[in-house]
Amino acid sequence: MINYFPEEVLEQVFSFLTSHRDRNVVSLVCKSWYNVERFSRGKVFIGNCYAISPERLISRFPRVRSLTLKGKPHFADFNLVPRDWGGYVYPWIEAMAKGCTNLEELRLKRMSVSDESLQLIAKSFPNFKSLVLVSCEGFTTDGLAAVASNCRFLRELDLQENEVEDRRGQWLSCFPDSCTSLASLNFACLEGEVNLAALERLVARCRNLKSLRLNHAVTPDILQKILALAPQLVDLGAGSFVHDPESEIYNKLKNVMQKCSSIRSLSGFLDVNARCLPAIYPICTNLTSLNLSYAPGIYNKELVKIIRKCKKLQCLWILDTIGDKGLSVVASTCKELQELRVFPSDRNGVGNAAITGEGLVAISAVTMQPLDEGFGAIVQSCKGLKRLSVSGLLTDQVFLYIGMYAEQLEMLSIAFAGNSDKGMMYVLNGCKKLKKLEIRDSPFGNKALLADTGKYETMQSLWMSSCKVTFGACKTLAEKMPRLNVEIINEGDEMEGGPDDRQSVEKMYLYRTLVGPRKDAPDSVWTL
Amino acid sequence: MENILLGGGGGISSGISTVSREKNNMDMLSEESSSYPDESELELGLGLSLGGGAKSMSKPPLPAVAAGGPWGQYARILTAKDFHSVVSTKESSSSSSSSSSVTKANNNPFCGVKRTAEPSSPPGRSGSSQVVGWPPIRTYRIQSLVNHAKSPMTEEITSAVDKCKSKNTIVDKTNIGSNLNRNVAKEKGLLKKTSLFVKVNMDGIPIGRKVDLNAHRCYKTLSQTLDDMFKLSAAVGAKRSNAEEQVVMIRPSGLLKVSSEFVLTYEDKEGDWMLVGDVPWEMFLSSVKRLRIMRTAEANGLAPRSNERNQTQSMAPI
Repeated sequence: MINYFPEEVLEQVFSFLTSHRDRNVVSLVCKSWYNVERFSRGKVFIGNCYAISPERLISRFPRVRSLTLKGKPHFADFNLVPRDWGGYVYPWIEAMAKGCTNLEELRLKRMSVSDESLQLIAKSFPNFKSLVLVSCEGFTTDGLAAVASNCRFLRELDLQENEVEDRRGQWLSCFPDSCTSLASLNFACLEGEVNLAALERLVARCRNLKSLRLNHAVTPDILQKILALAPQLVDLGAGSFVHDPESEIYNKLKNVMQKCSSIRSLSGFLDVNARCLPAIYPICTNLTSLNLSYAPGIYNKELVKIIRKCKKLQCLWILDTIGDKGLSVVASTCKELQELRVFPSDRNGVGNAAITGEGLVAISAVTMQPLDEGFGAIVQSCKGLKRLSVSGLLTDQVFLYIGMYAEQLEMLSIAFAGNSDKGMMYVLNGCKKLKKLEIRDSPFGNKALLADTGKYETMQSLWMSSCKVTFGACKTLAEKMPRLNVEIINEGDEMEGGPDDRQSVEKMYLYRTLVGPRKDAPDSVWTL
Repeated sequence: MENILLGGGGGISSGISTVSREKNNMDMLSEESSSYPDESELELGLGLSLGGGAKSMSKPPLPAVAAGGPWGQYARILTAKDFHSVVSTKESSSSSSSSSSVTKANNNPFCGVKRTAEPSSPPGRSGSSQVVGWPPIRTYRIQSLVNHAKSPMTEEITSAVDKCKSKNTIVDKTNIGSNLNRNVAKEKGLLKKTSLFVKVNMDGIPIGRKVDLNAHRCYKTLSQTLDDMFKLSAAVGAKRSNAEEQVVMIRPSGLLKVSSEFVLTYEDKEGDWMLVGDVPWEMFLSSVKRLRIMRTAEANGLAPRSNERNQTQSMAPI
């Protein structure tokens, strides 16, 4: 019967499916569904940009409007991946510019983005609305200027934690007077000055602006003017919050903040004079999200004062200066808290961290037992756990637990843990939904690597560094599994001839792919 | 139950701990799970093993630790410090066995402590070598910490802080942090005003003065300045013997007394008059509106700071 369903109806039905997973499943039902689905798919998510080529993407989904791409492996965040490893977005933009000019939205994470790419985006996609770059590098403010100048309907420009070379140009002034569509602007990660007058004018004419995150160059004086122009803001990232609390400007800031009753999310405070923080008290009561993790120098008592006012908080990112007592205030005040992240205020992670076991016990239901048992308890009770990161004195036992109970686990990060190959094998055997496994400095070797090679085709990727895996084993794996790219990253200089098969591999990254070895790998990366 | 931060058996001295029940805007590119938005997703990340907090808990040794493997025989939970440097010989005694576990690990073909750019770091040498990418703090975040910590004023602050150590002055890292922050900002030229002037009036003197509180880091220097400003020693001390060099004394109780005739007081944000010296310097700075050198007789009614501050000082006999 289903075969006689007109395609238009199917299309309508499918339009209610927003998740790419549901759509993937639907496209496997039959040929006709596959076709209807692929022509109606607007959003595509690609977790590994080397798993598929842009051309194949476009030929399957010719009407894609929103593309999400991720490049470097997660451990690149911690300097474990060479800078030139890859993840270039240019080929994707080039292909889309030829075959799919309807592109409206591009979201990139850990990719290498050049100014040329940004310029190409700016001139190739007339309906382009949204650019989100997270942890990317390779571009300058000149590229941003191109986007600002040419994307007439730009709604969102969101730069999160990117490395951007600041050319101190006038990229903000490049938004033409006709641009009134901006709803979200985040340039907190930019190091340099911005044209503050242009910023004010931009805010004044973009009446739909809901989210604004400023960099440190925006002073309280300007902030106060901006807030007066945009009391409709829902998400604010303050830049510099350093001023004399006796001054007129600070008074104005306090007054205008009181009118910003829509703000639900607050972040930034990249430079802060803690004595100015009382200005934010009026908006604390409505906050659902607060990120003070980039605001060092707020002493403990002030932090606690703020927290006490944030009764509706659902998400809190904070530095460890909050201390044990501070955390117990969090526990008693923020009854709706769903996410808590505590970051070290000392870059070495140690130092006078004010958080000890006590503070966490106040919040948690921790078992006073060895870590194995603790994590075991976690995976048993948190049945929906999708992502887990473990390190420390952990034996193979914890991996047995993970394999047994973590049924929904999709991403697992392991560091300095485990006893033997068994640990890794428990995980590979047990976690049916595992997509990404990343391991560093743990005693897993060839036996674990080669025990179930088919498993890797069901996963997105595997990273192993400073483990006991040898070249020989990696070569074996690569030969056996042609649809995996097995990359060896060698930053050392022992590269003449071939490495000994018995030699341990420094870093290995393997991932499933439909398009074979990539051609843009640097010299330090070998695809076996 | 999902609303918790899980410590995995003890404290976390550093690192990143997350419990996330639902997707939120902070992780914009995480995969969508399904079309049903209320299906909760759970994430748990523990960046680090236990830190010094383990000391605060009484815990039994690991009952059934696997005998095999480099980690097996050690009941000690490794701390971040073990990975921070190859061997930290300066660590506290509770970590000493963990230091040795790290050493042994180094002798193992599999090395738990990763070598860095330096070719070989023999165990026993502490300090210089660090583990690459550990603790797992994102590069971007490290840079922002570095930018805030970098300051040539650090030494100055440290020594000033040392000078300020009195029994009742709490000097903790967070206070230093805020000073550092201000000074770094000063350095960057971002601060428009680096001074914090408040009015100072002395009873019996019609003309008041102004003093920059930001030019001081503790009560002692402030009182010395006020001393000079109002020529207190000259006015009052002239009658005193030479033995009393300092007119302004910081009594053990933390009360600043300017001779026996005057006390130093301040008006706080709430309009109350308080005795100067009871609370930590930073807290004082955050609440002071103006100063008054008050006749002791009038100061009788002043109470020390409320219980809220956790420091109840008894009134100094006048």
